[in-house]
Amino acid sequence: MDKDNEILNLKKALERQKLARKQAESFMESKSLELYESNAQLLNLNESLEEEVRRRTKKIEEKEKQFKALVENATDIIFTIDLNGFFTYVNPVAQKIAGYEEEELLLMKFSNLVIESHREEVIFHYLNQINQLDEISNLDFPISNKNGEVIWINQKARLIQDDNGPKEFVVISRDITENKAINESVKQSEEKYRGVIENLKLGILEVDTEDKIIKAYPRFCSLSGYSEEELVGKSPAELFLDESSKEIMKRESQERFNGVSSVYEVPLIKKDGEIAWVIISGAPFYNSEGVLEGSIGVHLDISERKEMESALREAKLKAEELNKIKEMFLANMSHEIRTPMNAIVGMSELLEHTGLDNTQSKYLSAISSSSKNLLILINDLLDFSKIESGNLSLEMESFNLKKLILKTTEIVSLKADENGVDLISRFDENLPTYLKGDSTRLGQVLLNLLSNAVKFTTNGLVWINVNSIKKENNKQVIQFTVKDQGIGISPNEITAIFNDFSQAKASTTRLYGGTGLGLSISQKIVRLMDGELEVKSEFGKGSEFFFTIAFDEVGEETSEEEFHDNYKIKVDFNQAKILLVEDNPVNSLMATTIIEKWNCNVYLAENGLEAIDMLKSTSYQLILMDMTMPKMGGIEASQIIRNELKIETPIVALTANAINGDSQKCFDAGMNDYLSKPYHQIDLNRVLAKWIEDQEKAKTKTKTDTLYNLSKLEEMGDPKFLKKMIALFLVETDKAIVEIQKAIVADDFKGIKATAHRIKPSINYLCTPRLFEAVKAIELWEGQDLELIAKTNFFLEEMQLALAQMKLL
Amino acid sequence: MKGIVFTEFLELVEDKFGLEIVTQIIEGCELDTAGVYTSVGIYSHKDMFKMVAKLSELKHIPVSELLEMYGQYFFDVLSTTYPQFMDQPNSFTFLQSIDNYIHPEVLKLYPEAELPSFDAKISGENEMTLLYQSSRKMSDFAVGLIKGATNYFKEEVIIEKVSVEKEGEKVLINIKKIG
Repeated sequence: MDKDNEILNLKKALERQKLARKQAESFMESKSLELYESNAQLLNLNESLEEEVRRRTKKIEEKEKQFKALVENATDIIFTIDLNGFFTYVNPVAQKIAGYEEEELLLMKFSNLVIESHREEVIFHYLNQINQLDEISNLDFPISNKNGEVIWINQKARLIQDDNGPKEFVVISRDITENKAINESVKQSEEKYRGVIENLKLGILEVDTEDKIIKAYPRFCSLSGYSEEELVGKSPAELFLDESSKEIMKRESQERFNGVSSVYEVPLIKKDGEIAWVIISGAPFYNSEGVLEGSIGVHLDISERKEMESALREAKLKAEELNKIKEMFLANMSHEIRTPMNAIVGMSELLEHTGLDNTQSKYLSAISSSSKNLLILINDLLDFSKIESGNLSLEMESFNLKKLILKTTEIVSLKADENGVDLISRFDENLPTYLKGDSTRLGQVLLNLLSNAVKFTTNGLVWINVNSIKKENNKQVIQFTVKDQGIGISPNEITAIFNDFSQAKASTTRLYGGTGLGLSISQKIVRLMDGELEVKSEFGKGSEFFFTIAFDEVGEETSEEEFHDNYKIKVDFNQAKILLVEDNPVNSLMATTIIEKWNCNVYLAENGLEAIDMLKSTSYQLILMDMTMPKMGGIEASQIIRNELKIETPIVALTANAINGDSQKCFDAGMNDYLSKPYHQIDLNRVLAKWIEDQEKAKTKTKTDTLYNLSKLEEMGDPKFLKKMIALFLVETDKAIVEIQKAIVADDFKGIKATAHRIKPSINYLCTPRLFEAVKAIELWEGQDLELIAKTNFFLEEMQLALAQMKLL
Repeated sequence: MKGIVFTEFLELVEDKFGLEIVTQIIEGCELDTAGVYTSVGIYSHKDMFKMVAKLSELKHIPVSELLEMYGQYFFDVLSTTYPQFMDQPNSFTFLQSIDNYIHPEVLKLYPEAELPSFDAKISGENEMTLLYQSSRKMSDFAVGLIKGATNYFKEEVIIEKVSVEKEGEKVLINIKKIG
């Protein structure tokens, strides 16, 4: 039973073992299959992977070919170098530029090509790139190729790295030699101009088209006191200029932006408020497209110059002031000297007729000639001072040339006789009788030359030659020559003789006298007449002075020249009542003594006030009026006599003030004539003859309805002369009327006034005071032009009426 | 559960108690496999508990004792079958290598295997703790295996369960070397 049970258990166990084995076998089988399938799959995967690798490799190869072609055909230099600097690849351009074959290059280090002076720097640069692991770098440097040519290259080097760190450089370079050269020359030129600009003492400012500062250069900053930061963006006009300068600046800026360069001066207000005067020169500038971008202003500090200018201006004003004072002084001095001189001359003349013995006569003659010399001296000094101060103006009057020469030679004839000199005058046949010019000044020059000639000649000849050189455009060109056989001038002295206060030798003054001003004055007068006084001389043989002047030619004589000719002293004025107004007792005594000789009654007033008092109660035929007197002077007194007392008695000024303008003052005050002190008896007599009126005659002839008044001329008692004067007046005044009418049409107001001035004296002689006042008003007119024309037209109408009346005479 | 656990169990029962007991256990339990096991297969662990419980019933030996006994035996099987895992200087380093080395290797071959974790901590030369964690609640089997291991390394130790948590899913085991 146990056995059976045991067998049964064993059977059961065996059965379990079989089943377990089968189970294990099937498990194994399934596991094997699984493994097989996995294996198959794995195999498959492997194959496709290989295929993919092949495909990709091919693609990479194609790409590589493409890249290689690209690199080989590139216009840039492309190469690779290892970390030691040896070439590992070079493209054709690299070979071409370097001038080496590929095989040569592949044995070379890249640094071998770099120019020695840059080599260290370049090597350092790339070592640095390796150390810093910078992926890319850019560097310009020069290399030297196989032929030794220097080539500048710009090089971009890429550092290639793998897991082990830096591996090699891939480099792309470009030949920039040409750019470098251009850049270099641009840089050089820029540096040059920058250097120039920085070194010039010019402040430079750049502004845009909105007038805002873009750039201020250091020199401008130091000039203005502002820093560049303070200036940029501001408007220079707002910052630096006052209102009036802004206007100038605005105008100039506009000009500049119109493309015009300009230069102008403005005061610039500095940061500290002080003023710096600058000259600004501005010019527009354009961008590369030619569009206006702004302008550049160059500022030159001229403050110092401005200061100097103002100092000079002040100095000039001061000098002018001093000059005026000097002139005043001279005028006063001349007055002070002339007054006693007048007494000396006059008294000498009076003394002459008091029965003198021979010795006394000799002394008197010495006094007389000395005082005359003194007078000449004073006149020279006055002329000189007038010329120096520019106050000498030339008169333009007709004169008789021949008569002028004769009169001059007559003056020196006495001295000529004394020296044993024969005077010879020679005139060109073609010379016109009348010329227009300043006969007084011309006479003065000729007299000076003749006096010198006579003075320096002993027992010889002196010639005065007058020749017509040519005639053109109504101008007569005349040469005057004064030639002597005197001592002559040595060549080394001849240059100095026209200098002021100079004579040929210092000893000349001792021997011959004179101021040394004569030739200097003569030269100046000749030059005023647009001529040049010249001299030829041979020492010991004689001198020749000559000059040439162009005169306006005139048809006939119009001046009062004739008036003085062949004058005979009038000895009887038929108890004429003369009022002498004179404060100096010597002068009044002298004048009284002279005048009373000629059968006149002289009444004396010591000043203007006294004269006026006397005129109120008594009427006189002539008033002789001194100018400078205490209480009331001649000018003021005359004005009162004319304007307040309404007395028309002729007034003759006795003036020692020979300076220009005095005579005009006299006429303006209503005086009729003047006599310059010291005067000779003959001059005084002439004045008396001219003005003393026959009261009866005047009363019968003066008519109120006529516009002319011939009383002044009639009292001269010469009907022939009167007739001649009227005829002349008619012709001349007609001409003057035409001139004035023309001047009105041409708006030539100056011309109107000038003509009025010219005819005024003759109107004073021949017409009523009303016409005289009218013409005087025109002459002195300073107001509206239109009013002047109205006045002139009125005057012309009246004048034409007066002329018509006179023609009926 | 790995088939080798079943096959070795049944072989041990046959060795110790005879084929009659094996037949009784297989026929006395309602097993999924009707007692057919191969070492390369994988079977439900419930079958194992059923068979151990049946053996305890038949032989009046507590389950824990049986499991410990079987663990000690199973270690000998394992150490013979897989000598490559036994290259360790002592039991402590070996026990430490279970989680770190042996079980990861097992999972490479049998990815579906459900293995317990042994968190080892060596505290000093002669003492270590192991934290057993497994839903199978077979800490007694583990103690048997430890004993097998110490026997293998010829070490004398006292093995003590310090704490039991989650009805035996988490058991802290203390091992002390003696002498």
